[in-house]
Amino acid sequence: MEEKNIILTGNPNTGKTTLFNALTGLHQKTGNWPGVTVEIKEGSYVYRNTRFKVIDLPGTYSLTSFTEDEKIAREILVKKSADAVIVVADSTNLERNLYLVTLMLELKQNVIVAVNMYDVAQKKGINIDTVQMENILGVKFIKTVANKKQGVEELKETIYDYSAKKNENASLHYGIEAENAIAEIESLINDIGSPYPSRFFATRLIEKDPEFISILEKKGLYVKVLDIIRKLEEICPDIENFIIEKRYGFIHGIAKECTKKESLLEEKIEFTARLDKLFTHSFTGGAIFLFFMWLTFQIVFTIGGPFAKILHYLFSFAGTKIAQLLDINGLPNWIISLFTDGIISGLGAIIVFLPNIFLLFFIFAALEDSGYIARAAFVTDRVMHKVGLHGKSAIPMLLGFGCNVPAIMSTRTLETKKDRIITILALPFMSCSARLPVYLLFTGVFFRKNQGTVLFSLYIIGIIAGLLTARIFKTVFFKSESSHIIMELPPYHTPEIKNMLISAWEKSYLFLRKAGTMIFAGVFVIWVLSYFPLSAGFAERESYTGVIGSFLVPVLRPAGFGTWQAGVALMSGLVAKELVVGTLGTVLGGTQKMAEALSTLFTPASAYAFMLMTLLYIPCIATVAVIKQEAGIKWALVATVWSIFTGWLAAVLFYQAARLFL
Amino acid sequence: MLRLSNVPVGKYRITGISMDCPGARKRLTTLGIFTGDEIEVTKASPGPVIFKKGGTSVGIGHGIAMHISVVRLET
Repeated sequence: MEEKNIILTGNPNTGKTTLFNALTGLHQKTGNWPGVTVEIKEGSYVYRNTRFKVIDLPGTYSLTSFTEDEKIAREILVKKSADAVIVVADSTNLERNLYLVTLMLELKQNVIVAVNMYDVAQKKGINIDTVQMENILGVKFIKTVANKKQGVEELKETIYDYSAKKNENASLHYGIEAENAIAEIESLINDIGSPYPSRFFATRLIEKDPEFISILEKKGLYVKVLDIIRKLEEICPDIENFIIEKRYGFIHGIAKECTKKESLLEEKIEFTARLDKLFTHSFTGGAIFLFFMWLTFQIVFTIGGPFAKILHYLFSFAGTKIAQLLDINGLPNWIISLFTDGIISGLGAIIVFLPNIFLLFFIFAALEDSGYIARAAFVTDRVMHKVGLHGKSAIPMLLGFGCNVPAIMSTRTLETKKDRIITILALPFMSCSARLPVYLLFTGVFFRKNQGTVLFSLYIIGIIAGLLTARIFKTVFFKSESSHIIMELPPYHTPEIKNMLISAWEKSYLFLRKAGTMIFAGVFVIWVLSYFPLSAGFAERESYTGVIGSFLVPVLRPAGFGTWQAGVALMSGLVAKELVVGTLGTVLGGTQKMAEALSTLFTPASAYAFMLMTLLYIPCIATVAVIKQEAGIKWALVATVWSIFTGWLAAVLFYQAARLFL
Repeated sequence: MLRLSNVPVGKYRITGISMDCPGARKRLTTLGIFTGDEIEVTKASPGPVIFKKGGTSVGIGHGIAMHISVVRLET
């Protein structure tokens, strides 16, 4: 079967993911682009006996070197040499969306524009003459309503046709002086062997894109180019913005000619504007944000709890039955122990929380899909500014509640190095879903009546610790630099259930895969260390686990959990936080006996201190690795040491204060 | 001359964008915000400012808004 490569791109919040899902169904996976850590979704579909592999790029406004995401999108577009590039455009805001189309044309891509959310445009009285647009730009325009699958078949047919040929697109004219300069630069760079079209390269140089300047500097050609640009600047001093303005001028002309807006007698206040009055208000905005966070955790408990109990029962039942079955068949004790004390107790203790984790991701997907996350960034801007960041850093932090690893990767959307490093250092304090099983276990045993509130308090403490960390590091290392938020606030949408389910499933699947690999291996190691030496009883103080855990007892005693079981659980949590519960499950005799055993090892005060420690010390080895990759070894070490120290100090302070006052 | 950081909600025209940070300037222009544009401020200071231009709603920090000068279009 013939194979074709298709790239899906577009501004954020244009329904790109919905269109990707509509095209590929469930035939998709998330992976990393080689050499970088940005997650790229890939999917495929078969149409007319041809397999179309679709790459979904991160949402971008431009193709500059302004953010890492934009750089990577540009690199993939050039290196992947796609048979067709679909630019998903929001039909209610075509002008801004066409900006990316003009860049695609300069990049000589085979472009198809999906004019998406066309139903919304029609409701607003906007009519778009796509045929005329095609005539002007030389690219195909297809009207789509991705969430209703309207126009998707026509789009597939167009992709099939377009991917078979190279189309001639329109070229944007920047005016005589600029065009002469572009031609001169092109003649200089024609032979440098760049994968970028020379015209695209030349305009990037005029726009002073640092990456393209650096390529030419290495080749010793930039001085000549700079000469050409300086001459141009004598005629047009603000040449960088002149180029962008020219593009927008061109787009404005097209939009004026090809779109018509029916004049409505009385323009009603838009739904988005009305909601924004509440959601972005200086006082109500913050209160609503906190309420949403609190509500999220209540839902995670009230709806997820019963499902978790069912799984808990199933694992207990399976443990008993498997033990009986193995015993009847005369298998040796160590095999029975491996299955019951190791695999079922360890893994079961973690997997029972899958419903809660799925729900958490489901709610986050809803908040993201609805457009609320951008408002959350906005309302947090004032607080973030006080610690030397801006509201945009709040988005990776919110993502950090799901998993710190992709959240750290997503700091690539931040413009300055300072913002990225400070956000990266603050991020490990955002309580990821891997820590949730620990809280669920301990709050279930010690704070049964106030589970939601205790959980909420931990998340708030995590946020405060992150913000304080940002403030401290900003003061010490990045004193002079300051930054500001500039972001588009997308219109509110009703979240797509299918998108939310896919998103929640993808992330839950990663949790399950982690449980089946890294956590399984960790549980096995803990079981071996608990089983041996044979002279000691399983998971007794004399076992290897007990001996290792005992080393930490003096350090942990001031925090109220100076037991070897707590020590070994925290140590294993360095690999993956879920292992804290897995280890406790193994060393305390499985899911059935764990609650009782915990009551003997902890008091409510020491249990809360233990949760604080779990919350604040470095989430997992994968987080350290990704910090190293994104910020370097120095910051990875700083983050590790700082978080362990902060976690221990918070636990000690809380426990000692609780002893004094409670 | 009015600064975007100090104006109440209402309609304005941008008369100048003067900021030291080229990245911030480029981000604004990439979003299609230029001198001469008509905008509608929907959320004023304190804190960040939200304004609309065409179909785009843009949120900017107070520090950036300080560098954008505007004139009022209607009272």
